[in-house]
Amino acid sequence: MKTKWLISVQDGALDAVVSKLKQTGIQEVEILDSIGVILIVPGNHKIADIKKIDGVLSVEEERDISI
Amino acid sequence: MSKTLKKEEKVEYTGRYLVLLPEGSNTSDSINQINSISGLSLKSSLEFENEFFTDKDLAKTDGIVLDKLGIAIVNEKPKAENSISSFGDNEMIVEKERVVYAIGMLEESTQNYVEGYRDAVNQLTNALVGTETEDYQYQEQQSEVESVGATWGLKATNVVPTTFLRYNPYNGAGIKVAILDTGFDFSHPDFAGRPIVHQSFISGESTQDGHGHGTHCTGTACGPLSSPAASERYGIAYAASIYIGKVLSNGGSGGDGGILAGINWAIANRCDVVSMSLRGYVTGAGYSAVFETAAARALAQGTLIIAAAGNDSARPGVVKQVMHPANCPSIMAVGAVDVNMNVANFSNGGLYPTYGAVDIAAPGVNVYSSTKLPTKYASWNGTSMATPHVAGIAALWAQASGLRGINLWRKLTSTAKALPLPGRDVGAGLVQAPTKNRLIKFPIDKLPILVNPKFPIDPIGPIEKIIR
Repeated sequence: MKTKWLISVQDGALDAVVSKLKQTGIQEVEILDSIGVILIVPGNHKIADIKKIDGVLSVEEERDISI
Repeated sequence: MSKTLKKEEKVEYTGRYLVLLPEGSNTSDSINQINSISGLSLKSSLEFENEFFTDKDLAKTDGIVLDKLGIAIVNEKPKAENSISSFGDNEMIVEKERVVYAIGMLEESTQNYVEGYRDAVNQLTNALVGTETEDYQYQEQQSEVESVGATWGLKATNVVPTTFLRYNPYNGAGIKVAILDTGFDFSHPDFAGRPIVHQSFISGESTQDGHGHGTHCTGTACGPLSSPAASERYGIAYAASIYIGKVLSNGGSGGDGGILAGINWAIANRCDVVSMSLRGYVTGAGYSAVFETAAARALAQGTLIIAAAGNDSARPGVVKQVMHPANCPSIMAVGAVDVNMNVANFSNGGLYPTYGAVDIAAPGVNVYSSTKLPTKYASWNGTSMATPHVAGIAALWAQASGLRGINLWRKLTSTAKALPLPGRDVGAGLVQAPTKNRLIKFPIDKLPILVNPKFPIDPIGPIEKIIR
């Protein structure tokens, strides 16, 4: 299973951040609009690069969760 | 002059008179005396069966002498008005009867005081003259019968009060509760006919629970009022709308992305409460900024997220920190207690001063609930079991108070029962369901039903404690 990254974005910046992610070559993007979070499969990108995008609040690697 | 003049309190009178008879006089002599000096024709309360009379009975007479009190109630009639002054000349005290009203809107402290006074009087009455009964409405009586046999957790949290002086009229109707877990066993007979909205966030797996954990948690939060097969009631918000988000696989594991997708789905469906009996192991300091943002936005939209603190401790020696995502400040973290109100030995604690606190505690040891077939029912341990107790009770409070989001959070913590345990382990204390006081009417004419015929082995009573 590919590790995802979790990206929280500023209010109102969701579309702009998604657009920017796609411009940088990230195609697997899942938008969670009720909570303002984007899930991506990062490929060869670095977290630091994603954090530079305007409107991005924080970027984290997906953790394993269990009962 | 003050601009906030106090509203004038005007005393109203019924038109009748209360006459206090001379000390030591008997009723018969007093009646004869009053009748002779006033020309009235009073009756004794002894003339009525059990000395019970109504306003209509009183209206048919000039007045009635209350035998046990030595007081006469005298009607306002033309001939009485002329006679009242003569009572005072014969060592009798006369007052106009006042109009009295039931107490309406009270300050909370005053209401608590009055309710406490009433409860004390009722308990004292029970002790002196025996068990009392309520003037039940049929539907209410039926509800009571159905809810008598219940798990220790439901009793401890007042979902099923253990005193007849209180009852729980709330069932979660109109409240949407999302359980993000391993799914749900849709073939479980206790949920037959119950509409359930569901969505899987696990690739390649349907929402059907192949583990049993999700069915157990759903059972506690939203299980039925009664069941033909269960040994006791285990469900809290039995009329709530159930939303099942499968975010953990049949093996019991998943990832953050699925959890966030499940939260997003729950908010999009306008769920009021989200229950998450899951955790990601963390060792260092800090919490997820992404989950905190998501949870804060959920609260702002009226969705309260409740999550398990985690089962990584080995008390008394090892107390681990509250795990992810319950360690986020905007997610309500739930610790577990046992039937003796001790912290469960596995329950994690709040180790940091500014985040990662345990916010509230709930029953999490030997918790009986539904699970996947063919097992159908099981008693399990874990903060996973404590979390749906809080979620179900949150649904009851949401129904009872209309509160949502952060206000619902505050209601849960402000009404929790304080425990003599560190706040690090139990937060505000043991979660408590909303209840109401019964209106006890006298005279008492029938005995209450103490045992639910469907759960005869579990009569209502105090919570059993395990003696070790």
